[in-house]
Amino acid sequence: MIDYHKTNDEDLMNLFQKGDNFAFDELVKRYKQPLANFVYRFTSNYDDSLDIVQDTFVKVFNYKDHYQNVAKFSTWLYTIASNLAKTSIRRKKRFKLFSSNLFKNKDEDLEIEYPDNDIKPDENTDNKLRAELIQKALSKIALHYREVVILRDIMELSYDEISEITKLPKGTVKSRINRGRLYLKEYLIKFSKDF
Amino acid sequence: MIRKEKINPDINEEEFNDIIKELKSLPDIPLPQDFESKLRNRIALSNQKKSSSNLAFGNYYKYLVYGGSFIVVVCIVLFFVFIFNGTHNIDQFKGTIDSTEYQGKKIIIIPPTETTVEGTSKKPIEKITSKKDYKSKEKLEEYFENKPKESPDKSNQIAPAIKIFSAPGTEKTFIVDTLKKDSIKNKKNKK
Repeated sequence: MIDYHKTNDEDLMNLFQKGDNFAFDELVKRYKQPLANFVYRFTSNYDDSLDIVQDTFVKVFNYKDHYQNVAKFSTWLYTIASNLAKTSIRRKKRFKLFSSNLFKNKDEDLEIEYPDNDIKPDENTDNKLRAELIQKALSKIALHYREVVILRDIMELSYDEISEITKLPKGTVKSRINRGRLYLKEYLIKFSKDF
Repeated sequence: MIRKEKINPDINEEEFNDIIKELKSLPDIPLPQDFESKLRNRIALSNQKKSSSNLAFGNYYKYLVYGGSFIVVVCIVLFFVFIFNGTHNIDQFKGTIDSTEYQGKKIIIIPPTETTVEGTSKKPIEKITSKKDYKSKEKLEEYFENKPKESPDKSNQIAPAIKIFSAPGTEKTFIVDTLKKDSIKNKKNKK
């Protein structure tokens, strides 16, 4: 009898590749929450993030044979989620650009503020406002900085893992993390003043 | 406005301790209770789509694609061979074709070419090779004046037109009398 709770991710994935669907269920249990946190911090949209997390697991299920045991399962999983999140963000940006161009007044070059009604999940926490502020600042920094900052400071992954997920050299990852943090800090100061 | 100047990548991490702390303390995102059941549905749906597409085409899918693309290519080739045959060479003269009337006869002036010019299906086919058959513009009048007279019945029956092929701005001109297909040959023989 296999104790799925004590089995590591890679072994679970091996079992799943051999047709054991309980192993997949265990992997979903383990990773649904961290993956949801990661994708939500990345996209700033609750519904989208749930969709992306589900899509990630569907991809894992359908492409289980593509996984090779040389890589860590979590790295593979975050790579899929990150790619899906980026695609979703770019698609949304294009759509927003298109729709804002449609209704744009040519005389006034107004900066359209999109309402942040997507930010819902932190409602029940004490520091809701601070969390919202951080999320807003995160959503303002460039995608390539945002990704590494989230992976490092929220998901607490190692530089090597981040380097593998982003397919960037370790030095570039470190530098991007530092730059990302700096931008984040500056946005936080700016938003705190505006608040 | 956030500054965009070059930033030293070796910034001391302690500088960002407060931010790192705040990021780490961010609360978890609440997940819906039916997350796993929804996921199962999604997976089942994707499998269903996969299997239904496999059933619809089965192993014949590849052959259908190859066969279809082969038929399309053949159709395109046949289309160009039969529809554009003959008119293609004429099209290259578009914009340079000039026409005039001389002694009540319509004269079409087309620049000379190395290639064989073929008429469309509506007109009798003329094959002319330019370099051998050209005449100078000055000799044009002479040509019409000394032109051998054809029987009127025959001319009406075949094509009442004379075609003069010439290069605009150059002295090179060649003439094809469509009243008689072998007019060029006759002319040469006479000379």
